[in-house]
Amino acid sequence: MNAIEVSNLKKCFRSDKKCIWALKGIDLKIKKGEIFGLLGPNGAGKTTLIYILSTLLLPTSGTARVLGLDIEKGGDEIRKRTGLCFGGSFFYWDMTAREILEYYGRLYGVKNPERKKRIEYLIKNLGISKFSNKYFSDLSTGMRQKVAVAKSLINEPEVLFLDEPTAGLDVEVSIDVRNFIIDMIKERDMTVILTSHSLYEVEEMCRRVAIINRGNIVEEGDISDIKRKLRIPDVIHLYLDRYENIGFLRSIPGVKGVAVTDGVFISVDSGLKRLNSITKALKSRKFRIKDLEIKKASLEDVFLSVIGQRGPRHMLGEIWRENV
Amino acid sequence: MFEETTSYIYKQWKIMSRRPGELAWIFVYPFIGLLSIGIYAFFLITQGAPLDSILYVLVGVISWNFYDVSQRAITFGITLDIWSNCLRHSFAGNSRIRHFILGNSVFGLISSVLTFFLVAAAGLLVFGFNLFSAWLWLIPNLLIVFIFATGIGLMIDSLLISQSEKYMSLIWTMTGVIMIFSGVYYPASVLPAPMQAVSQILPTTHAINSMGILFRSRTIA
Repeated sequence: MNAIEVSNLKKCFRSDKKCIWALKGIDLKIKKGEIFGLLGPNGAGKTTLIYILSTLLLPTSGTARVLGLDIEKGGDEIRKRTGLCFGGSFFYWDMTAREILEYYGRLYGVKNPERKKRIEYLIKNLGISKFSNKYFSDLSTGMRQKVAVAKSLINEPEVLFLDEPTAGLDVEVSIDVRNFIIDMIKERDMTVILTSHSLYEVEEMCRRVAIINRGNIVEEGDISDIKRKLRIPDVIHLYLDRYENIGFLRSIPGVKGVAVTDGVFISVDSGLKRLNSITKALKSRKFRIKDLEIKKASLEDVFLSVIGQRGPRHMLGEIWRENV
Repeated sequence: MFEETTSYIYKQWKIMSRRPGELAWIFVYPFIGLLSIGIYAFFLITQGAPLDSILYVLVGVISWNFYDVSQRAITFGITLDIWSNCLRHSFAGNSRIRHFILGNSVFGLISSVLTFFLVAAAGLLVFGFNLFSAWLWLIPNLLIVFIFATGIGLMIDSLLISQSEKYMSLIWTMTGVIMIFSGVYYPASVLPAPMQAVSQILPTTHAINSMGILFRSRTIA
């Protein structure tokens, strides 16, 4: 069953009587219990799509259903059953973290003693117990964001929209927040739509992604399928005893480029598939392999490739082709 | 329904109780108004102004505090969110417009009734003006003032949300403009004819005038 269904969704923002299309016809289906990643550069339309799905904005045309409810007719019910977390969230400066959760718990109609139980659970598991009675103004950026995550889960949503939930956070807090969300998702069977600039985060949390650029979905599917489809090369990184006369590697089937900087970087269609023939070829020419590592194509490579920018792998390949 | 409605009362109370500037709406500004206008009215009496003019002014200043605090509550339901940059969180929540109106109105009613009692008590203490002697007659008139203030507050809220935050200054300017037309410190009949036409439309004109008539005949202790 699909938790979210979007069909030909368009959104135009009017400015000086001109129509600026933020979404130009989005089609999307997200299954129940799925963690779906939404990627795209700034201004691509990710947040607009999340605002529409969470009923904060109305679309210009097209339809969208969340939990089987039409976003234009079932707004109240959708808001009741969904949670929304933005990066860099702010709340009332003069309220403590606990009071903020109490306020939003009431706002979502969560009754006591359930409300108290949920607040305690979120405070404890997000690691904000020590700070729960501090005013929001006195909390660090990380703690504030943890309050935002807790707030988005206070109503135990069936669908959770996470719009850059770890933006601006240090690594440690990002990992805390991410792990907590992953645990909650597993525990509650939630559907999650995640937008993030951290492609590592998306790759770690999501199996399927859609890449939005200029209001259109330019790629959608399993991350591994997209990588395969786009033929983004893996890189085999080798440390050898010497680096002279290794141009022969380029003639091995599947090798797309060779470069030497800190070791040898060999760009190949599939790291696992080509490793054997590369090591055999090196050994036959009396090269000693000191260390090796296969670097699979990352989501960053996919992203840069799809939105038409050249990734570091491409640049690396060019430099090396000239040098070897 | 209960949880959603009380959330607004909870929020306003928590924030107001921690901000001296907000508490001043109940505990400071109304008394400044009462004392400054009341003393000025007394001064006018010493200069030969009729005695019942002070009654009119005292009724006006006390009832206008009631308007002011009522309107503040409904507009601050939104402005607190705008100032704290968290308006979108409130809209993403489960509460509906009726919860917003009811919750903030109840907070407005509680705070304006509290203000009214405090200022009326101060009026009795300082000027010997016993507003409590006809409290039953005050209820319908103050209710009219409250409903009108809430309506104006909601209108400002809708402008803030649908148009822009630049309309925030309306919270204060509307209070001033309506005060002039409502004849708070003078009978609306002294206004120029075009202004009187506007004045007659405002429910506050009739409510304040009716309270003024009620107390004008009473003597100052």
